[in-house]
Amino acid sequence: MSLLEVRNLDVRFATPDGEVHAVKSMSFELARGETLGIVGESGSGKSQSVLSLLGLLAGNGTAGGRALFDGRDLLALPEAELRRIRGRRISMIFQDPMTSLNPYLRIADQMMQVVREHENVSRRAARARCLEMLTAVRIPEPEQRLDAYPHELSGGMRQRVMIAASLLLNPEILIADEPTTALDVTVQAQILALIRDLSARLGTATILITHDLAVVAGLCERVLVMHGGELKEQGEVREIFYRPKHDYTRALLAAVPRLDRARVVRPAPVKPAATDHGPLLEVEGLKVHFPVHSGRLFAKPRRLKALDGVGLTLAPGETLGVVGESGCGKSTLARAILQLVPATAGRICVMGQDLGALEKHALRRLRRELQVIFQDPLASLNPRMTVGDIVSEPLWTHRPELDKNAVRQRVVTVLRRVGLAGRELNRYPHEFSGGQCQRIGIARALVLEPKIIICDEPVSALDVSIQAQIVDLLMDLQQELGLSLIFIAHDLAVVRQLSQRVMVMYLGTAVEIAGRDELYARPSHPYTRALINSVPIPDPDLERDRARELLSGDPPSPMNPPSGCRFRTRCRYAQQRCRDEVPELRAVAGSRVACHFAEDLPAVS
Amino acid sequence: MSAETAQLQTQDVPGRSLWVDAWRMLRSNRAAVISAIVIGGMSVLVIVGPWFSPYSYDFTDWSNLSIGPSAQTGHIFGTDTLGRDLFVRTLYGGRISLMVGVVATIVSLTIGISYGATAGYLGGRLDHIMMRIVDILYALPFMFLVILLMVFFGRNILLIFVAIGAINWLDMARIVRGQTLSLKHKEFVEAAVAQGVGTFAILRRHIVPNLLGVVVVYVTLTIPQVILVESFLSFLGLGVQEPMTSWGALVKDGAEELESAPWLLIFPAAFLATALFCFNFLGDGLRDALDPKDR
Repeated sequence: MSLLEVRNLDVRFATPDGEVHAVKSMSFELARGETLGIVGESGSGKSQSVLSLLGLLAGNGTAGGRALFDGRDLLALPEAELRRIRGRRISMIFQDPMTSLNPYLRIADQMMQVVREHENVSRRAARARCLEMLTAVRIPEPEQRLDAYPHELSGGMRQRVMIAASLLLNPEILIADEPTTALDVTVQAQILALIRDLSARLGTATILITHDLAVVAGLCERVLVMHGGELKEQGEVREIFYRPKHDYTRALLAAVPRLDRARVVRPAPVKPAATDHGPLLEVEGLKVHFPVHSGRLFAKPRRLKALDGVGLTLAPGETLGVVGESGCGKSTLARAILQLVPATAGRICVMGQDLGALEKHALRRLRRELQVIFQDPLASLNPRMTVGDIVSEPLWTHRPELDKNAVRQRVVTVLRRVGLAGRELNRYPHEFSGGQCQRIGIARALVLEPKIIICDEPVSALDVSIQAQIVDLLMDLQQELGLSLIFIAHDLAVVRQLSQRVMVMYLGTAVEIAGRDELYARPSHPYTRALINSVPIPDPDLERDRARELLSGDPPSPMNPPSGCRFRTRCRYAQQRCRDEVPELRAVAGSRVACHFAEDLPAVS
Repeated sequence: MSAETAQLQTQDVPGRSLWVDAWRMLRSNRAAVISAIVIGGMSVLVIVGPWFSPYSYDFTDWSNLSIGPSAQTGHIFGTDTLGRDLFVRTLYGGRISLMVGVVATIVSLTIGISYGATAGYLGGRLDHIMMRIVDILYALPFMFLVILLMVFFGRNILLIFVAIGAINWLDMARIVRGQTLSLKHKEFVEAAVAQGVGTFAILRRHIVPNLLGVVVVYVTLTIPQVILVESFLSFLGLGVQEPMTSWGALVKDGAEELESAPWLLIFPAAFLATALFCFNFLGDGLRDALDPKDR
């Protein structure tokens, strides 16, 4: 008999614009000890379906249908009884571990509250139980962590605490709603391994809600695919991945960028003959340090070294991928090149001209060659301006000689070029979807026909299928117009699709720069290897057979980076020399690597 | 999505700006709509009403000293102890009170927006100095300032505008500066900087239009606050000069005659309270309609 049996679940929300039917007649079962994945893009109803089971819908939502848990209908239970089930027999972890922990309570107090709410035990017994659970989720020094406040822990640690708290009462069902989406890929790998291990050991049935098919591939036994509130397909994980029946599942699988192979095979762009100018963009020894003021009056500000000596070159028509975890300085790199933050030291040359030495007017003129696309598609468009004005603004600034009609002509042309209808001129950004907004942002960057576009995580806020469209668009545009791109992303699989060369960053420095195929096939730096190893692959068999080499711990704070090699604290090959000497970038077998022992590392399997 | 694409097929799709959205939301808020109508009606009444009354605000009707409201005598709100028609005086008081509210708010708005936006956008040392000046001005005791002004320059309605405006722009400057700071790091502003758009154009096209929502809300909440401050000053005897009057002054006079002639308190107080209520409801409605967090 199944543990949870959901029949014809319907979730509706009453909104001022009419009723929204968020989940349409969904039925599924969950067996004891099973791991079930619910996959879908944003707005597919995947979270709402499960929230409704726990009575956690927003005030304007109603749920219909039946959800039998242990012979009782969860949807018909009174609130008091539901509360007894919630937390004790069914518990939940959320996406953002910071907002789900109360910042004013110590870890021990939050966790003990859960125990003592449901069971009549002494403080001491409850504390012992919490300690045991923290040990089970492999938190180092659990005794001290019990008395810490949430802000003293890193994101990965907090998520571990959340998992520990949710498993305290040994629930029968654990619901994880996007548990790793806010985390870096190396930390995500640790957390996924932990969930897999714990659910096997404790026999807890797990429902994993995620947008990421690759996460599901490694973790789940059965998968539900949702789209537009409907359950499109459900089945064994291998069935879904290898023999998908529904068109939507197929489309979704085809859209997922994969690390193990490029999604679309494209001819390498033809490199234009080298010009006399040399590289289009040249960055040397770039440092950006931010002063951090402590609360104390007259205290000397400390320095946050966001970028500490980074160099790169970009040839005409080339795409350079930049990858790294959050806090590695990749966005600061983009902002420094665009002169949005002042460089502390180093040189940035565009077409042979040093940006730092240019006068204001000359710099302004040069900016038309250097455009930018940001991560958040809506935030990068002024909400009070029409689309036409947004895309026209660069022309007003740099081509004041153009009359109204000429501007309009160009704007319409560029909007069509990025896949919009060209009739949106009078509409406002909030009337468009995320993907359309990103297209408008690309149109704004293109309208001046620049030579370089810096893309700062342009697709990470978008759903997988939209992501694929935008990546395709960028690749088309690049080939057609001979653009040079710097493509910054945390997602190695996306970077693989469109870069010719890739730079890997860690704590404000470049640790490896190599050709794309070189880097993904034979990563030379231990960090690159670990990073590639941490990315899940959307293929159940491959994913489960992989020999994993997971990184432990979290990246250190850039306020206080380790001496010598910055990666040494998490590196399994670290030796005394790594502590004393800063490794320089040097040529090793076709790539440039900053590691003392790059040649001596064992070959990649 | 399909509806959206279908819409795109037609030529020149009209846009739906955030202002249109806000207007629609405001109109669906019944309390705010009624408040706006009441405020509008009251404004018309205080401007037009006195023209149709046979009495002027300082005319003494010797045959009707301190009588209650009655239609026969033509004093529909009654008269005060000096035989002056309360209806006309209430309307004249409304003129002064509403004018103080609007003028002082405009003064504080103008100073506050330019000061706050400059400090916020330019930032750095200048911002530090400008905001410390605001802090120092905050520390001045308001009552003390007003009494000093009255002593030096005599009682003058203009001085009340100046005094109230001079205090209120401080709040405005702080709010505008905070908004500017957060807008400055928005990606669309960074994109404009990266395009090479000039500082003034950025302030005009990107910063100020995005401040307006907050400013409009603040204005509707400032007007009643200013009216209240003026009433408070008048109640203390520091406000308008007799025989001119304001709602605050009328309430003060009425309170003294509370036992013998309660209508002297009831009518002006009712007008004052209604106006304050309506402005606050309208402000709340505007805040709901314009708050960017809802989007």
